Amino acid sequence: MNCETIEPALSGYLDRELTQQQQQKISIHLEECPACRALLEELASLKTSTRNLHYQEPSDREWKTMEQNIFERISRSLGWLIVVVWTTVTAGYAAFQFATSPFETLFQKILVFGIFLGFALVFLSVLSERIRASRTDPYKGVRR
Amino acid sequence: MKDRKEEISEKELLRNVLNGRKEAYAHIFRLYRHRAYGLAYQYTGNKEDAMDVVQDAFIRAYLNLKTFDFHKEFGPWLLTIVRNLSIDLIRRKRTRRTQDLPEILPDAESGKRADNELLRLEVREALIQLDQNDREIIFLKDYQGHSYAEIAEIIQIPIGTVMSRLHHARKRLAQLVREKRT
Repeated sequence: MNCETIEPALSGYLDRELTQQQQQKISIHLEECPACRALLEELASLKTSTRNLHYQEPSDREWKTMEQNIFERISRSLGWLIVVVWTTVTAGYAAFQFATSPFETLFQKILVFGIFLGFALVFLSVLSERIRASRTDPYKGVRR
Repeated sequence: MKDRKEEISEKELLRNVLNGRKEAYAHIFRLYRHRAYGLAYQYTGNKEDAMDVVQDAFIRAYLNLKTFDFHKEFGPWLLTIVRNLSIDLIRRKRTRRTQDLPEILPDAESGKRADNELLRLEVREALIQLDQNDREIIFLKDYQGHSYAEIAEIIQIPIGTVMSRLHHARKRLAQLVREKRT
């Protein structure tokens, strides 16, 4: 095997991600090829340096606050989900009962449905605007 | 990255979360918060944005836990969410603050201290110059220590592509470090 076929597999060799047979073939090549050996040493040295880099971590207090925020937001999301589902089911049931009620005339039903249709359209347009705005709001991340 | 015992207890925790036990999710949060934060930081380049991404990712993971395949590992699944949210955030902001990238840790081996710190300083600067894809794959392998299979799952590429992309990224990093020395 020559350097051209060995070189692309050097990272796999370094990370021990090759098969045993491939590892052996590369080991044999490395014994007789100073260029590939030098590249492997260089990659190994960079790997060690990268592993020892350090990111600025949040403090214990910040982690605690984040944990609390996560659970608060999960509860809120679940709460909203229940509100939306329950409201939709209740409104649907009420609309069905009203539409099939024998006590109101068709004219009365149209009047009432017109009001609800208007509110529903306003609600949907505000909702879609809010969703669109929250995606592009540059101040979304600002804590209050 | 994990032994079998840890994996089983993690799956038990996740099943407890699905059964409505929120305190189990607090354990999951503590297990994965550093890895999630490191990945988010690698994309956003600053602490505040990284923290926002981590928070959103854990909420999204919780709300979508029913869709998680319990035959797979939770870590790569969560980190895929972190990655997607980070990319969304930097697309929205269209800027990336690079001044807050990795800091240098003091070296325990005092004999090689000066050389190692110089190399790490060079690596840190070279990493900033790398493009996002190269930096991402080096970070996942060399900083976080994921296997090629896990990396393939997190960044959603075929496993065979991981080695070639990683090798290309490392060679590019080596080249940038060499350029700094000349």
